[in-house]
Amino acid sequence: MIFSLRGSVRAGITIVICCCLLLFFTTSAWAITPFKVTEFVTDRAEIIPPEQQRQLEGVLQKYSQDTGNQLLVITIPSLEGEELVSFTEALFEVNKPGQAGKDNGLILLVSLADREIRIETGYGLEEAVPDGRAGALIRSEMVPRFQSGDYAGGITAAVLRLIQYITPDYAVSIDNPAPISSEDDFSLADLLVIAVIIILIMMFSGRNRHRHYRGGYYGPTYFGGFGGGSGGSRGGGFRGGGGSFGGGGASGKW
Amino acid sequence: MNKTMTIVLGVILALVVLIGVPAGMYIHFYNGIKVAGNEIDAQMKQIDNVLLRRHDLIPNLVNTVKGYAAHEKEIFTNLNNARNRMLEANTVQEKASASGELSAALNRLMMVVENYPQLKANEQFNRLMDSLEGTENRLAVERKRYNDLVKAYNTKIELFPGNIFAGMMGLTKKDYFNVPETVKENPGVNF
Repeated sequence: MIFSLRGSVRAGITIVICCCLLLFFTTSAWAITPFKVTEFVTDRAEIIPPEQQRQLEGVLQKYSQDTGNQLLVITIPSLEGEELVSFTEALFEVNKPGQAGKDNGLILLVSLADREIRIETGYGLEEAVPDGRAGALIRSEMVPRFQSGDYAGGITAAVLRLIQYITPDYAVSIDNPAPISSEDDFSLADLLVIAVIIILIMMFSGRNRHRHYRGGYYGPTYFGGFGGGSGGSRGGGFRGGGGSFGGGGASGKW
Repeated sequence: MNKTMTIVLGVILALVVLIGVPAGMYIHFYNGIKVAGNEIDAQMKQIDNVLLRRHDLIPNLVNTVKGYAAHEKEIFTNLNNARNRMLEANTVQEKASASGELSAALNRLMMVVENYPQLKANEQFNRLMDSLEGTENRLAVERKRYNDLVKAYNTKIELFPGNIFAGMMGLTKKDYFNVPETVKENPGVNF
């Protein structure tokens, strides 16, 4: 009697554990979790051509060095059922863009499948980028371009506008654009780029898929030509600054 | 000689254990709970800031909407009443429930607005809506932080030996900033 009771209890526990595991795996397969980024531009949705991504990364990196303001651009393929605002906030919580105390960070999130955009401003930028301004920026700069499929253009325009709002006197120099290479001026730099790409592919094809982390670390430093000035060997990718937010910002759809 | 020394030492040790340790624990608890209490007060100020911000936003919003939908009088009256009740609220619970009512009234306004396409094409109105959503969202963020602090505080005074000290100091549990159930099922506003 006691034995069978014990047996059934054990069976019950096993079932419960199995259910928990099943639940755990299924939910973790569906829900997107906030991730740490190592670049200022993290294009998981793959909607920004590499050329423009490099350029934007360079601009944002230099902007962060010059002013301390950290603007993060993140694109994702889908929210996978998560709520836009709370997911952006979770990203903010994890990555903490902006300097501690100054809270001068911002996240621009684009979710491709959901066709949703969110600008989440840190405390310190709320004055420069009030919600209404953020929303207007989404509607005027991003939505029209996104509707015609020009994601990179919309994102770049939004970033430039944000920089203009935050620091009106700051001159953005996209003077270091990646060269538009044609067949005949195949330079040493191009060769180097290709070599790095091949090495990266070899490095990561064998390993696990959680690439991005180190891939991004090399990307901006080598390609953009920025980050050479300060910090040098440690690279110029984004490292969480310690900024916090208060829920300000705006959302939009296209 | 030796014996008296031992006794003296023993007594000292006993005193240290019986008085020193609890006293130390008390000081530790006292300081900890004061810090926690101050944090809660500071966070309440944050919530108040957001509430004030929303308060200031409403007249602008109402004026803009009135330009297009002047006949929706009931909505405006409700909104105004809720806004005034918000001003009278003092305790955390009063503030929470008044804030919930105001959120609900604002949401009704937002739903009505859906019927006015011209309004939605008005950029000034859109900006106001951004601000409004932003404020509701800020409120959600600050409220969550407040509730986390309250939870930590309440746990402190419930756990041994804090519960004894809390009894001595006459401390009671702090109220959460709870949103009434009716407001929670709002579409578009994220809690």
